[in-house]
Amino acid sequence: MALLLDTLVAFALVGTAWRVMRAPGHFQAVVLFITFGLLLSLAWARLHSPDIALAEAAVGAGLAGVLLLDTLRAVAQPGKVKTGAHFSWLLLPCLLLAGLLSLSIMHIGPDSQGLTRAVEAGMQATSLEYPVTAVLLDFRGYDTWLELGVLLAAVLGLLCVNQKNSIRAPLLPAPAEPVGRWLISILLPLIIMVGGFLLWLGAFAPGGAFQAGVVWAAGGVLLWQAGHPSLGALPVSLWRVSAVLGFALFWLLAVAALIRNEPMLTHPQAKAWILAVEYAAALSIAVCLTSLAIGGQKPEVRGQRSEDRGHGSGVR
Amino acid sequence: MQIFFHCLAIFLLLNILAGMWRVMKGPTAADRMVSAQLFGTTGVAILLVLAQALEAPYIRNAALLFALLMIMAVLSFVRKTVPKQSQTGDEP
Amino acid sequence: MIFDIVSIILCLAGALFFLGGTVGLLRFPDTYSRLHALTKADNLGLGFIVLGLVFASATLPEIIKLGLIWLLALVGSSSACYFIGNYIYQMPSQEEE
Repeated sequence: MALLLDTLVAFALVGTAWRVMRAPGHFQAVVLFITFGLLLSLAWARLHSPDIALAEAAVGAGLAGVLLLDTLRAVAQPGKVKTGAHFSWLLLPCLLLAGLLSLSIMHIGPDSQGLTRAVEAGMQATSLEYPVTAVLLDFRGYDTWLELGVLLAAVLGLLCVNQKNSIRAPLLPAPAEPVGRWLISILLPLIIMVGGFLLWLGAFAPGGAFQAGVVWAAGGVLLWQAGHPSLGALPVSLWRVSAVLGFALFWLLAVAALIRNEPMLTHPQAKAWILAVEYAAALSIAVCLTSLAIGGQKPEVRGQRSEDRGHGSGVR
Repeated sequence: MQIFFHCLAIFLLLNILAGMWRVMKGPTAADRMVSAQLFGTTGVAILLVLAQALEAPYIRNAALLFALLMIMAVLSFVRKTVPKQSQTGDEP
Repeated sequence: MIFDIVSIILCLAGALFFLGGTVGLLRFPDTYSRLHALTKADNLGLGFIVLGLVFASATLPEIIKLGLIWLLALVGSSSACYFIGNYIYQMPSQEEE
C-alpha cells in the first residue's frame, strides 16, 4: 500500500511538471507550479524528511506563488501567450539520464546507512542535539554561510537593477475591505509565533533557521500586500543591518577561529554562540527574502520621479 | 490502521489529480485559483493523514505551514496592479 | 478498539466530503458554485478528517495542534473564497487565459 502511494506521488509529480512545461498559458503554468510545490512537500514527507517538507511547504505555499504571480502581472501582455518552443529532442537524453540514475540508486542497496554513521560519530563534538541542525550549522557551516552570501548578493543585485534608493518598496494602499484587516490581525501574530516556534524547535527537532526565516518573510510580504504602514515605519538602517547580520556573524566566527589558530569556522563549545548564529541567520533570511519579494515591484510613476530628480542620488 | 490511513492518503491524492482537470480546462483565471485553493486544503489533509500513518509527528508542522500560508497566492491574485500613487511618499 | 472504529468512520465521512468538493469543482457550471463546493470540502471535509485523527492520536498537545490547523484552514479558505468571489463580481469580463 505504501508502494502504491509512492508510485502515485511520483506519477503526479512527473505529470504536473510535464503539464507546467506544456501549459498553453502562463497563468495556468503558475498555478500548476504551486500545486507542484504541494506535491513535492508530500513527497518529502513520504521520504521521512520533515525538515525539507517544512521548507518546501513554506516556500511553495507562501513565497513562490506570490513571486510568480507578481512577475506575471508585471510582464503579461494581453491575449494568449504562445509557448511554442520545441524541446522534444531532449526527451531521449532525459530518459537515458533517468535510467542511469535509477540504476545507480538500485545499486545502493536497502540497508546502506549513507552518512548517518559519520554524522553520529561527529555529534559528540558539537553541543547540538539534532543532527540536521548540526550538519547545517557546524559540519557544513561553510555552505550555510555562502547561502546567506548568495541571498545578500541577490538583494544587492536587485537594488542595482532597479536603481532603487532603499530596499523597501512603496507600499500598496491598505485594503479597503474589513476582511483584509481581520485576516492580517489573525494571521500575522500566528506567523510570527510559528516562525519563532520553528526556530526554537530547530535545536532538537525538524525546523531551523531557514524554515523560520521563510515563514517570517511570508509575514513580511503579507504585511506589504495589506498595505500595512508598519513596514514603511521601520528605519532603513534596521533593514540593512538585519540583512547583513547573518553573513556578518559567520564572518566573525571565521575570523575569531583564525585568530585562535584553529581551522576556520570552528564553533566554540558554547551552545549560545551556535544559537546566536542560527537566530541571526533566520533574521537575515527573512529580511532578504522580503526585500526580494517586494523590492521588485516597479510602479510607473516611480520611474518618472527618479528621472525628474536625476540619477545623482545613486544607490545608498 | 496504518493501511487505512495509507488508503485515505491515496484517495485524497486521486482527488487532487482529478481536480487538475479544472486547472487545465477552467475558462477563467479565477477557476484555476479556486482549484489551487482546493488543492491546498486537500494537501493539508494528506499531510495530517501521512503524519498519522508514518508515525512522524513533525509532519504536522508542514501541514500547519500550509494552512497558514495558503492565502498568500490568492491575495496576490486579487490585487490587480500596483497603484500609481505611492502612499508613503519617497524613500528617506 | 472503539476509538479506532470511530476514527475510521469519521475519516471516511471527511473523505466523502472531499469527494463531493472535487466533484462539485469539476461539474458545477459557474465559478460561484465552484466556490461553494470548495468551502464544503474545506470546512466539513477537513473537519471530519481532523476529528477522526483526534480520536486516533494519543496526547493532548497533538489534539490541540490538530484543532488549530483546522481553524487556520477555515480562516484561510473562507477569506480566500471571499476575495475570489469579490474579484469575480467586480470584474465581470475576465480575459481568457
